[in-house]
Amino acid sequence: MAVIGRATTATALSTGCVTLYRPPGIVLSPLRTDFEMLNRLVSPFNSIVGQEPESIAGALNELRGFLMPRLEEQGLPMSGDFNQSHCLISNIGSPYSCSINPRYSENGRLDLSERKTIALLGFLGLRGFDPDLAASIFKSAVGRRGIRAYWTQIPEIRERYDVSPSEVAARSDHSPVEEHIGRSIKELDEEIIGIPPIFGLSQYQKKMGHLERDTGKRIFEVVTPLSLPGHRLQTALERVAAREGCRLLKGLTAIDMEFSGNHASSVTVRSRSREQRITFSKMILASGNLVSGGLVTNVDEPDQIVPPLQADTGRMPSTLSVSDTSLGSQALRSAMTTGIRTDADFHVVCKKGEVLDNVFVAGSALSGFSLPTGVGLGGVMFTSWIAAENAMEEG
Amino acid sequence: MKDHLIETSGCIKCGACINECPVIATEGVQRFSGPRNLGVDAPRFLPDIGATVDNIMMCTTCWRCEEVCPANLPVPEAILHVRRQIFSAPNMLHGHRRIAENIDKYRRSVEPRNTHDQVSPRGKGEVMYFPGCIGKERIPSIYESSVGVLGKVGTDLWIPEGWVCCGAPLEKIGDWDRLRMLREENMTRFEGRGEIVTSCPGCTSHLIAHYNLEPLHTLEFLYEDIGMSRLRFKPNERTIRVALHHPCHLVRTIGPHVIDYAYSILNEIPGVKLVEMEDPGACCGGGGGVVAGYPDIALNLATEKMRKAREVGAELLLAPCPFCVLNLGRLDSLEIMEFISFVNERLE
Repeated sequence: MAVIGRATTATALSTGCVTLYRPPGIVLSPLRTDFEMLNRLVSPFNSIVGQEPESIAGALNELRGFLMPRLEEQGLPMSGDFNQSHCLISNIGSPYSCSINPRYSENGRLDLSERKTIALLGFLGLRGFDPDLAASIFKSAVGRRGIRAYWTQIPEIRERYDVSPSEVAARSDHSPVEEHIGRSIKELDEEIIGIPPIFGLSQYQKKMGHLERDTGKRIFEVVTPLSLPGHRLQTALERVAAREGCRLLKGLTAIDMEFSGNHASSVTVRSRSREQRITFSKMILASGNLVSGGLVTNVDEPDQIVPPLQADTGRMPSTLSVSDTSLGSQALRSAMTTGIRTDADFHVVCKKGEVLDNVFVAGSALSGFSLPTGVGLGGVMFTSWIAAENAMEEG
Repeated sequence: MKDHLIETSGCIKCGACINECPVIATEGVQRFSGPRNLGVDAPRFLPDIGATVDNIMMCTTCWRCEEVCPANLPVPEAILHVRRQIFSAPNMLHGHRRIAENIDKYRRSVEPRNTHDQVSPRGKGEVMYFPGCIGKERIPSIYESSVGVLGKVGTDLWIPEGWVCCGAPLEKIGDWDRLRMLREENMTRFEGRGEIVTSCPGCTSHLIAHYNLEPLHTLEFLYEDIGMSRLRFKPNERTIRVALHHPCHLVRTIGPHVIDYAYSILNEIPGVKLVEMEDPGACCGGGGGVVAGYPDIALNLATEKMRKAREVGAELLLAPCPFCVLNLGRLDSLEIMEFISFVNERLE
């Protein structure tokens, strides 16, 4: 099996949390699945909606059971509880991480019910995280007042690591950086300290643990979009895929697909200078990016879609309604709803209506599953899981 | 100019290019403002951009920004375009001026060390080998090994007499007048060329983009045209731990398939124990005219690359690119070798 893709994926740009929540206020027993929520998310995919609740709950559990130990093996232990009353699937994110969105915070290191004092510490020059802004978001999102924002200047970050948290991560064996952070944290009176994510996959657990030990305070990362946790998750997922025997063909764009009747035989991919034809028995189109499900859009419709395939802009993200005016512009609406058309079992649909039985679409390549919807990566991963199961089962 | 304004107008300000830029990572944004600023924003303010000449020449054209751009923007091309627009001889960096002077004097981007071809052309054969300046004049073992390997597999080879620099370094510094001149000179010498093979990813992609030719990198030629079955290697003497660097212009401008070919060949060589370093596709600093313009930046990137290779216990670092070998070879912390030179050593 191979995964072909180019560009930064939605996962790498995400907050690194795999979540699929039902609306608050609905309490179900642990083994019951919230079909209202799920229907909104996965409709009209028969292979999910048509199943019994236990079967779907089982699939959600399978996905979580597959994902979490493998991510942990790659150095990314994830927190979260599938049986929480409000969540269908969740890994919440790694234990030290907390989103500024309170939905994703409850299982992380930030338990707001404890009423402990909280401070957010920004590093001058590291533009990815503004503690003043984050504190005001906390205030408005959870009604929690008194979260203090501080800035500190760490020479190594100021001079060498400006803007690029991933490189701070790569050089996190650079102990003066840690020492400076530790000293700054010790100067604060608050009990819980939020810092920007700066440690990469290989160092993250150890370094955060060191900081907690050295300062005697609870430390958590304030996860914001476009920040390091998404990169960590992406890196870990790529390593898991490679370990499971999947080839990653990065830097390639699919430009054409050869098919006859309802069966495809090969895909043509392009690098900057060469075109290559790759034959396959089955293929899943799952590459995604920040907007538009891995596809480039112009104002009205998808652009650069693999020629024989049909675009789909019919599905709105599950958390929004078609008439939602908050989307603002037609361009944004188009980007958020754009995907590749499928039938109810994730088979791809061609322009002339042919349904290909060996090409599947999953994740953010599906209409309505783009990242900015705010539903987390749960839907993306769950539909990918089911599409892959369908692909394996069908012949 | 207009094309690039259109093509770079879809930036969603996600910051992926900034996050991935190797020069920002080592030097900081205070010194290098990065691909989005220079490739996307700068072209809109061209009249004022002369002031950023130092800044824009720090880009190694590693193509990482384009690779990660969710909006698929041709950022490196836009940066090269800006370099072309702001190029002026008086403002050239010292190292870049040396390149231009060498071109004027020797028709090569570096001063020749070998005044004559060590391997004489056999007349016009089926395959034309284009040596490239670095592989011929700076690291002649690359030239000798490439000719040696191609000869061992029975290629009917010829080398165009009086070939000149392909012009790739001039494209990087924005000097298109000299670039055109070299192209014209080469095209007359390439007559009757047949298939073209080069050792240098920079030459390969430049001949594709600016000469409208279809050259193959040596790795592509060996794997696709010759075939693995004709590569017969000596039995090993001792096992050696080898790491493979993925040159930017090989994997990101020619294509990622070429590095797969390199791994396939290495897997067939007895005594090679492959070790995978972290991020083997990270830029070594050898491209974009940065070695000549800002040798300190190139050295910082090379140091990082060598550190990663040493971390996984590599005894030898291979790179299928003369520019990478030249830059990495400035450090003596680990043995560095051009890929085909290693193949030549191990071939029967």
